Amino acid sequence: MPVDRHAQRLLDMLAAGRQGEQTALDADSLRRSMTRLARVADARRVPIGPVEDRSALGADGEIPVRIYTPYDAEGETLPGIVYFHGGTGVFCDIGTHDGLCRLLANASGCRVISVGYRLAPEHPFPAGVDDATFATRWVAECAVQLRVDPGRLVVAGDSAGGTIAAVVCQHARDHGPRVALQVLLCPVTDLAAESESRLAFAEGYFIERPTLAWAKAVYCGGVDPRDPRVSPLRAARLSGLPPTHIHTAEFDPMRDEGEAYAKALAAAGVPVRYTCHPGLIHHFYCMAGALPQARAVVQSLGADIRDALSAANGTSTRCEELDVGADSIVADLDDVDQLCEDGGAGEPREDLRPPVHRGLRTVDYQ
Amino acid sequence: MSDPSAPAPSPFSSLEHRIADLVHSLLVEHSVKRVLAPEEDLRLAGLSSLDMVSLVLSVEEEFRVMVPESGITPANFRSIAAIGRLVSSLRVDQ
Repeated sequence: MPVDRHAQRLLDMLAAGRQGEQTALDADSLRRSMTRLARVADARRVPIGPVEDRSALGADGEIPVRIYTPYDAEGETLPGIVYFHGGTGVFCDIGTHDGLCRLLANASGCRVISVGYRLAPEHPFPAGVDDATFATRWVAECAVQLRVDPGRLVVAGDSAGGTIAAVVCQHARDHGPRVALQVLLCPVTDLAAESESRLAFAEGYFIERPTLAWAKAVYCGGVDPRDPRVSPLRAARLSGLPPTHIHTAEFDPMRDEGEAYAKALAAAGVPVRYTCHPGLIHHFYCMAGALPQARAVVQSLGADIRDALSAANGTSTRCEELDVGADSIVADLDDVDQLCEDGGAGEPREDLRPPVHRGLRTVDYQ
Repeated sequence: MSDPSAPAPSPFSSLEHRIADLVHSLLVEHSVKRVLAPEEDLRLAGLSSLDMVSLVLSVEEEFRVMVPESGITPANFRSIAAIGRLVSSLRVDQ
């Protein structure tokens, strides 16, 4: 399908600003621009339970976290989502993802713990990943105090936060804590490859190739982009990871690497639900104030989390108000079989890389 | 005899003034603190493409208008005066 008409308006606004643009790529400038964008494009006035700013204990000091309790759930022990915001590891923060976390808490019925990990270039890799790992451990260790059920701990993130979430889950598999589910939104999974979607949507699709190249250099510092701690698709072993939900957007440069990670995990025996959201663009989930479809998608993926945790708990409480959108369809079994035949575990292979989008929407790999 | 302490007359119409406030609040984030002229190019003044998204959405909210896709052009958002002309035409249409 074509680009969602509301998303197209945003892309047109970007294009209008790009003509004659004089600003250079600069971390501080981008941070301020993203903060301003969040103020006008994010979901606003989302009713929710208590929202509390606290600090987690990290190896190099305190890590700011913001804890969201869903509407009408104060005092209950709930599943927890440790959430890592995106922004290439250079910009965005807890504040730019505030609306998303509120929507996510309500839709999933989880307490959401949004983590303000350190950013490059002030704190180059691996500072952010270290903070994320410590914050996740802190949530597990303080679960009783935070009124989070440690048996239903979700690790989630978007874009570069999706990279961090994936890396945290790989680390947690070997060192704890136990993660019940990982949820990745438009994740960056391979900084060392040029997928077809990165080429097809290099220009004019919200985040552009020069910005990605600049941010990669800033974020990685001296680290090889093939290092699995910045490119989790390249991890030597993917088996044993928690059940996974991966969401991509049809017109996102990172779409193919999200799908490739879904396929690689499935090939390694991990239960995966993969959904590509038609018509949408990168960062859509943080622009629910300007993109009605984004709000519907966040509600839908939150309901998926609720269902997955309920299923793991032996009950089912499917959200009755779920609006998945008319274009979301579940692929038939032939598609699933075809996709699952593709690969084995280990290093990602060239034939694991998906072709330009085939119209696939949702696939459950079991 | 004019009062030398009186402020200089504003170069903006009242509608442009509201637009100028939005523009200047974006520019100040990038340490641009001077007052722009009505026809001055916003991109040359330091507005980034991301800021342009914020500006268009802010203008729509401020004036309760919806800029049609055909109206989201570099020319319509080139300057405070250009945005003022666009908003005026939309308020008549809508």
